[in-house]
Amino acid sequence: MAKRVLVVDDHQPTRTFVRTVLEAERGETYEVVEADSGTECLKAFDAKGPFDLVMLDVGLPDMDGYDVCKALRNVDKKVPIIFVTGRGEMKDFGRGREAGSDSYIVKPIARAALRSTVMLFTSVARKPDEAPDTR
Amino acid sequence: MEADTYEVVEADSGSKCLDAFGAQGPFDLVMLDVGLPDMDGYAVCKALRKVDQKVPIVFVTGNEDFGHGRDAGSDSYIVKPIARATLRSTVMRFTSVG
Repeated sequence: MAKRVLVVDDHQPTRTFVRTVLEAERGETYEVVEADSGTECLKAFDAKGPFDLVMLDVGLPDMDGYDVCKALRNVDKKVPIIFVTGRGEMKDFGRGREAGSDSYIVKPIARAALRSTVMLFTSVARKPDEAPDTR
Repeated sequence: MEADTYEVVEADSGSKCLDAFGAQGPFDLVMLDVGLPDMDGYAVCKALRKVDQKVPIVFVTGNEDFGHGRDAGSDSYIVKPIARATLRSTVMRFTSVG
């Protein structure tokens, strides 16, 4: 079954890059849904879910990515949420973790970092018994 | 160090760490920065644990909050700036176990 990934970023080339990398993956099939704002993310999460992973930009045009993360956590405690952040913005990941996210990758996104992070967290979601603590 | 010989392999990002772990292993110890340039050090640790449950993983971190590191499957940590004696004793402790 395809892994469903919600990619939230107002920067269209970033969304396209993530889509391109994930759709080229051979070992797994990914279905990518895009949202370009916090509001669109929350709408899509509700209307187009369930998702196996959310990739969330920190600096969205309409609201704070951390607030989006908290809002997602209010409706879904388990879905892995990965922040996509500028270099140095999340050095020790404290704020993102407090908001309920699971991990982060750094912009400009390195293909290998994207692949390994997405693979790690989508496989955790599929087999919760193997890795019960995703935080 | 006098008592033992260490062969050090370097990686400057999370993805290079995962590559090196697969391609240049086996390793007796992994020392892992928390704030890597491409991805979350904790995620790197979890990814290493998926392929190797045993190799000691020691975080090198700027703060002393070890809870997340332990949750991610690491064994210990040392704090930056790294004190030589701390590094030596931590490395010796974990490599002699393995």
